[in-house]
Amino acid sequence: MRPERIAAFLLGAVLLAPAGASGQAIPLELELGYRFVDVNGNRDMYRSQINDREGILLHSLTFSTGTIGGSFIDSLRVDAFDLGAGPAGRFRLEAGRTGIYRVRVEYRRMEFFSALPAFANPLLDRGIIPGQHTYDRTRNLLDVDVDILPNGVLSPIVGYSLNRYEGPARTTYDVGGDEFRLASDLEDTEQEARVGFAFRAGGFSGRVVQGWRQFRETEHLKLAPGEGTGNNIPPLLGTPVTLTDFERDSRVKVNVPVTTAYVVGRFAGRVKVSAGYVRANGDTEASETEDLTGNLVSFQISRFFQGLTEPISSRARNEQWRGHGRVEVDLADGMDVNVGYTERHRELDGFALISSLFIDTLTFTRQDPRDLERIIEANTALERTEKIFDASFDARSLGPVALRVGYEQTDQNVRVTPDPEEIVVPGGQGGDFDRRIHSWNASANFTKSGVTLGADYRRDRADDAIVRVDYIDRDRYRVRAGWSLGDRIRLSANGEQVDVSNDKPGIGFDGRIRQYGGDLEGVPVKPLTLRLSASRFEATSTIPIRQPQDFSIITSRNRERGTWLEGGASLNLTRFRLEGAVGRLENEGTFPFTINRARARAEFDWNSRLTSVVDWNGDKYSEARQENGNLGGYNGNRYGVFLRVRL
Amino acid sequence: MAKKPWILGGISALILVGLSAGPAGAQQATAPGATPTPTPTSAAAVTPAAAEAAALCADCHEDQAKAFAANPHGRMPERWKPTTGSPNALCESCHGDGTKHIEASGDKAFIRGFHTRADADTCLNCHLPTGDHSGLRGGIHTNSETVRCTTCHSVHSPVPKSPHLLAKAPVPLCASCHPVQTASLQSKPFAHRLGRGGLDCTSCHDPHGRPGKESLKKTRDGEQPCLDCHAEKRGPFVFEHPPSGLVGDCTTCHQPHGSMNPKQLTRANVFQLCLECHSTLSASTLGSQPPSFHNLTQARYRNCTTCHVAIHGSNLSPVFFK
Repeated sequence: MRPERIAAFLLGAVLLAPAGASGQAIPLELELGYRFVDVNGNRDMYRSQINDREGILLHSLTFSTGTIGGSFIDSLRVDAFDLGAGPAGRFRLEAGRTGIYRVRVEYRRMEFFSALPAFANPLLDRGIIPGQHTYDRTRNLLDVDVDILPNGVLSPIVGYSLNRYEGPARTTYDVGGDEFRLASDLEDTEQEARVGFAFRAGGFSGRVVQGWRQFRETEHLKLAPGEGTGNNIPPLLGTPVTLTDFERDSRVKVNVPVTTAYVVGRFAGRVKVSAGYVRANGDTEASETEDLTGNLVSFQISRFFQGLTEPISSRARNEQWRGHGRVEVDLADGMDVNVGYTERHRELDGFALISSLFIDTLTFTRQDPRDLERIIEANTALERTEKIFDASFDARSLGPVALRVGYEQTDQNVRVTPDPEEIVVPGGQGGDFDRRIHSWNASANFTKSGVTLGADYRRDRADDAIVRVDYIDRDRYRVRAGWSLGDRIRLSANGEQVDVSNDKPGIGFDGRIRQYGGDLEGVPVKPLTLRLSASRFEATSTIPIRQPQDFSIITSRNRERGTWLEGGASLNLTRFRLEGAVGRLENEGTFPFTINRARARAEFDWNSRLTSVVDWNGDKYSEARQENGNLGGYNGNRYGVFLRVRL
Repeated sequence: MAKKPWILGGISALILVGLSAGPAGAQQATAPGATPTPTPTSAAAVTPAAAEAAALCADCHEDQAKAFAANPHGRMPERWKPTTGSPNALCESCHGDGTKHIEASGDKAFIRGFHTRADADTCLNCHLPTGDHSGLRGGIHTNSETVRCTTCHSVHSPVPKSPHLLAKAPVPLCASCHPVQTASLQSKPFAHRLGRGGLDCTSCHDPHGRPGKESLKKTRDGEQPCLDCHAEKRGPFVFEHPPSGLVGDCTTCHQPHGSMNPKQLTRANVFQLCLECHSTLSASTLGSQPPSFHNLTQARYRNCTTCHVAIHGSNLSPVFFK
């Protein structure tokens, strides 16, 4: 059964449940209505960023009771959010009989849409938008977990998870000297069944679960209508490159048994010892058939060709595990020492057999007509080991002050063995890399008379980098402050700065991220609440890069500087509530834009069971200051009319 | 393959030791996961005055008493309930002996009010963190004067629509201390949809976890939480792109708290993001140099993913073409 049908069934069952629940008053509150949508400008960008659709929407549903009188069930809680006209909805059910069993069911649905005008768009200069990679897909997730005799000495566990991702998309394929747009139809399904037990005996508790996960993917691709001429108009070696037909089917199967176990022991209330182990060995099998015809050119075989048949079969074996152990000692009231060790390891071996049959080929001098077969056997291998030792000391009750200091040492080893087929330009393809990072951290918090102050510092020093953007030095500073005067005024502010650098020869990477902001909330008169919020985001980075076309060195610079200001108010009267907010985000730098956001919501109680709700959300996005103009700009307004019912 | 039998062996030994310690009921008649710390109202602690004061809690605290029937604390199993004989035993099991409080006409000085860290220790008598990612006395968010259980949870007046007896709805609750992170998710154009469809901070973070990376929820495989939803990025792939799990992680290229850049990327231009690793200016790092026909003066080569479409990993193409 498809997950959305399962969720609809469960929702229906819940709505019918009150009638049979021993005649007691059971609170059920649901808010159901219709959302209208009005979008001007780039509708694709609106959908890429917001994607609220017009239609019926179950804005919220809550149903909870702890006093069902039946012998089979004594608690039930159901929550649902934003089901219907998407783009993201959730349904959650928790039920059980105390000490006998507990069931948790969770369903989530997400709609993903992307059609960006300037992203990965090689035809932007010709004024063709959106970009060539677009998708309109949905993801449905279902999780079911049953605990039997929860919190007992031995508690069996059974669970099932489903993650389905599917829908159409457009992508591109580089073949025969050009890129062609393809229409994709994808279906991914990941399922996991698991069984195990939790235990709780004396001072010990833990859990052992064995799961079996399988992932299945099928994708069918064909040439998108009208896209046979590809992206590049000029002929190649005197031949116009075209694709007349294209079909590709691919299948992927992944099977992964997953073992997880942990145990926690407590001794005299002062010592906690824990250990855990996770093992997941994956086995991937993939196959593909691809057939295409057209007028095409291959520089790899130095020939023109009229068709290509390319079956591929591949296999990857992955072994990974993670183990950790930890000891925590409560030295005195509010003073703890914490020492831990974690090791994780991953190995992967891959193999692919790629057989390419080029049909009706000719040399570049239009001679030697024949079919040509090329077979590639690729083998890949990689291995990663990471060992982390950490220790910390907490003093949480030095009067109004709490302190924490810690140290961590991370050792990384990465070994990559690429297949020669992967190497086009020698260098940087593989090797054996070691990296050690020493990290120190300290934090202090102070609380007194409604005032809270806090500061954190973390210092990381590495001896080497594995990839160029790895830091050698990293310093992170965080500060926060809060003040409240009863329920009248609440002020909170925090800030963070992260400095990273790598001054190794040939790298010269420098970056800084700074974020700071705060909230002020006040109640000038009892039914009225006012709120002001301001945040600033800054990011800058520089690193030299080599341009491929002439191997010259330039500096890659990225800069973001965004300011977010928001103000809001809410009025809470006996039968009428009104709240609203307006905000503006202005970003300067590499990708400048502005967003104005506004929202308002009014509620009126007709009686204790019925409330009318109207809401409005408006977002105006503008890229007017970008070099390509306001390609992605839109003005999206959503109006909702809802009825809230309490039963 | 590098096996670590000591880990499995250690866990097995601890399990056996734990099971051999006897049934839970023998040692902890009052609470799941309880420490030997005595509850505030053990049978010996009940005074005659307390017995006379029976039912007086509900006389003054009528609203709390009525609401308590639907409260999870009101339906704890019989074997965990206090056995003092006092009708107020349930209240007193958290708030302590109320005799003096009653005698003093409700003076708050004589009742445990859960306004300090020490009071919050009472919660931990039953709610001791039993997970292997939470600390002895809780994680980064628990059990200090700054943040304690009642900072986020409200036993008697929780927000009706939020589970776990939260004092506020999940997003505003986290925002009250982390306004910048919340503003980033809610204001930036390319971000996870915080607060919509039930997505909140705890979808990815464990508020009871230890500081640092331990505050992130892990998948069942111990991987970063991104893969719980984005399962198709998990692999294993024949041809892996190292940032997808070998070196770094998703945050090497993406910003989970929202980004100014499309696809939540850390750079606005794709070629910058790629070439910052793929420039062989030093021989000691992982990351190859693109061949010279990648002419950045042409738009097609400034958009690397136009051709390298399977950048998260591929089973079909060594250069991620499909």
